[in-house]
Amino acid sequence: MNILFLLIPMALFIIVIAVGFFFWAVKSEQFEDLDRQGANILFDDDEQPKQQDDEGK
Amino acid sequence: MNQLYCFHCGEHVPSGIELSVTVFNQSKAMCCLGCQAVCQSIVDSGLTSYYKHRTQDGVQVDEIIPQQLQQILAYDHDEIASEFVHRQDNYNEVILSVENVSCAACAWLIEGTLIKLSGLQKCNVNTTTARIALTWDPVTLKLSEIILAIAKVGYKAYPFQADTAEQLEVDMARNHLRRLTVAGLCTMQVMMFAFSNYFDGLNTLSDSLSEYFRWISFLITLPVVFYCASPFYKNALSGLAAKRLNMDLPVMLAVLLAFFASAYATWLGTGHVYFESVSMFVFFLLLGRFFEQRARKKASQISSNLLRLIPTTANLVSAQESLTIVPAKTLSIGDIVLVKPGETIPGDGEVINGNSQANESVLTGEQAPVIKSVNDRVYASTINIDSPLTIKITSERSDQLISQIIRLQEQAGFEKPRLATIADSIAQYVVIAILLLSLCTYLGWWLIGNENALWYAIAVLVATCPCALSLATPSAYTCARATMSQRGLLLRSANALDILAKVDHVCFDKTGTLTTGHFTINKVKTQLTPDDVLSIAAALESHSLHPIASAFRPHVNPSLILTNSKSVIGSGIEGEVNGTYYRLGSSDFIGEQALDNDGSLVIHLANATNETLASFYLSDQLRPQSHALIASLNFDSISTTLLTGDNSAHAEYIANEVQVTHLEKGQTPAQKLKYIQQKQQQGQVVAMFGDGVNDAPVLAGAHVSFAMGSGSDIAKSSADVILLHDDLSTLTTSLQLSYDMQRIIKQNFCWALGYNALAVPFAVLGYLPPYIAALGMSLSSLIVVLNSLRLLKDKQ
Repeated sequence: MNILFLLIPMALFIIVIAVGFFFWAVKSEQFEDLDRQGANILFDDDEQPKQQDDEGK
Repeated sequence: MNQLYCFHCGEHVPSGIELSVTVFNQSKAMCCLGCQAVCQSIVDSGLTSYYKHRTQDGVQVDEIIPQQLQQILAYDHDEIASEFVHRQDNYNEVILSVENVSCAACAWLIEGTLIKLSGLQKCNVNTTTARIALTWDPVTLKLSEIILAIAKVGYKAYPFQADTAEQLEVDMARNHLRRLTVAGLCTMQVMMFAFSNYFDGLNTLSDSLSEYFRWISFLITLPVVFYCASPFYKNALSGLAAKRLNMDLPVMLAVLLAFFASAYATWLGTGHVYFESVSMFVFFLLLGRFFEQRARKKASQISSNLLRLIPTTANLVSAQESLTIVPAKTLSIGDIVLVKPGETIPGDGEVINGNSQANESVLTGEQAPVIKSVNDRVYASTINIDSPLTIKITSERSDQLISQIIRLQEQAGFEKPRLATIADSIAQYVVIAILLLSLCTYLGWWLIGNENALWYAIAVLVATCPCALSLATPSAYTCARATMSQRGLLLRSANALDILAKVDHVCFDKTGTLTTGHFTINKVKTQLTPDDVLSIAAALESHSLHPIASAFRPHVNPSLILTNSKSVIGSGIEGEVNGTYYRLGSSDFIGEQALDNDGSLVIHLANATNETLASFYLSDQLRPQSHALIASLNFDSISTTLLTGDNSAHAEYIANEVQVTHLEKGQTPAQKLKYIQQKQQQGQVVAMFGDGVNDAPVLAGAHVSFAMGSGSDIAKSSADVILLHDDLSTLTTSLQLSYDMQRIIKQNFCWALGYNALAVPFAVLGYLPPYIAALGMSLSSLIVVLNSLRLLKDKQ
């Protein structure tokens, strides 16, 4: 069971990293709009505008 | 007949309209030019995915009228923009609120449109807050172009006035989320180590490992106690500083005592440790408050979105008689400005040229326009109706009538009487009882000489369940708030619901609150066909900006053309409709007697030979719910007052019609405030309903106040509750809800206390180890939360 003396601190270290990531995510406003991102994948970005040629000029 | 619905907004397509747009290779019907233009521009930009994925129909789109366009262009002025645009390096940043953004498809559509604008650096639409964050290069792109691009796909975007409370709420919510997550993660870890102790029936855990686990648990509990739980300490201490005992005090004592006692035991290497109980306790408490916090944050965001920043501009007349458009706030005494019909008067001043009427309802509540000619005073925020006026500014901005009203409102809000909420009063007694009981337990065991005295005292603190007790009110508030917003009521202050249950006097403003604030035609007296005379009158009024003109608008017949029209200020209009001469106006103008006057305004239509063809009876109609609301208040023997600035007979007519118990008419904003302050001094709990600028002080001063969603910004920012859909009947349901909430809170306290009464004897006698106490506490909290959830049930 001596391996626990090593494994537990390692586990704690990973938790600290996870908390660090979480704080970063909160800070960069990733939790501000939870309703929208789920549906974002539905939209195709590759649909071409009809008059793209005209606009390009 | 096959009824057609607009593909864009889902409204009926009126008969005779044949508009369509080709979407997905099919021709789709459109109800109006606005919708057609929007749909066409969505299709042309290749954003038709919007129609595939939207969860709600779009909103019927009105075309932008020149006046709105001018307002949008005014956002480009540096002096106006400086109020809401931030400059970062070479880019401008702004946050706009967008109306009717309801789903991810809307957000995608707006982003997809804006991304094509050159000069735009970043845009992000947030559907939860209905806001859009923009970063752009001011050299190549103007803010007005961005707003117009958003308008092109059918959304209205505005800069808004952030609620002062909002930034605070957002920061608090973020901190709370961090604390909650840390507490959750740590609780799981500590539990894991604690379980190895709980279920170590075979004694396989060596002493060294067991001690190691304790130290690890101690380490993990540190952030919970000193980081996650810190808001509780702050509340408890600030409560103590104000000589109040609140629910956070026993929480603080339980957490700190249990932690330090466990730490001491860890140090000594003997005795029990209860780190897991501490962590779990903090986690559950934070979870309960998290939901309340989120509801509060949402409410303050919605209410900020309602406070639009619409700039007032002025046409400054220079010495050379040329016009320049300047922001109204830069005007100073002696400036000469030209106010065109339909424009807002930019400052308090005197008329030096022109004859017109002004709509001063914003300040006085009186609907009837006031005639303005040379040397008359005009006031900022009122609207010029008939013809251009040249005015000379005579007051500084801070001395304007509207600024005086705002000061009165601030003062009233400051002096607003605070009432103790039910939770406060119950909590006081409960806290004292808990503290005394645990102190007695400790002293009792200590006198007997039991070394576990401290543990028993902690068990009492934990078992008396401050958790369920402290969840008793926030959970009920959160649920009640959610139900309110479902019914279109936005709760701006948390204890408005508490106070609502005690209200015994309700005051109403008249125009715009009990009534719709718009003139409608009640009755037409004519020998001819009513439809014909109505459409003739509508044609005559078609160019007028007078408030009564809107009453005729539904009767417009496009085949009738108005020519040679001339308005006689304060009297009426004459002109030729399809070549025939008509006059439309007041009794004096036509020379006709008004017959029965029930407070309605009578307008007559006459022909060239001065023969009266028809009489129209117009009035500001009661809202459909007003009758039922006042009847139900009277039934509950709650007094009602009609508190109006209007001095005309219409006030009496309305008061009689809806049967209010008191009528106070012709009241200035200061008199209104004084009236409710008198009632408050007599010990009455007063609620106020209003919508105008003139109601703002009284809304701020009332115990609890309601503003109409269509009302002025100042009214909305002074009220506790905003009626988003202007539906007065929601007062009856919210009264019911507030009674329900009081009952639920009492039940919650009863349950929490009842559970305690059961658990405490065991804890006092030392039969209840803290972890069992913590488990019981969680169960008890769960029951309290479930009970509160009953408030979400819609009884309608």
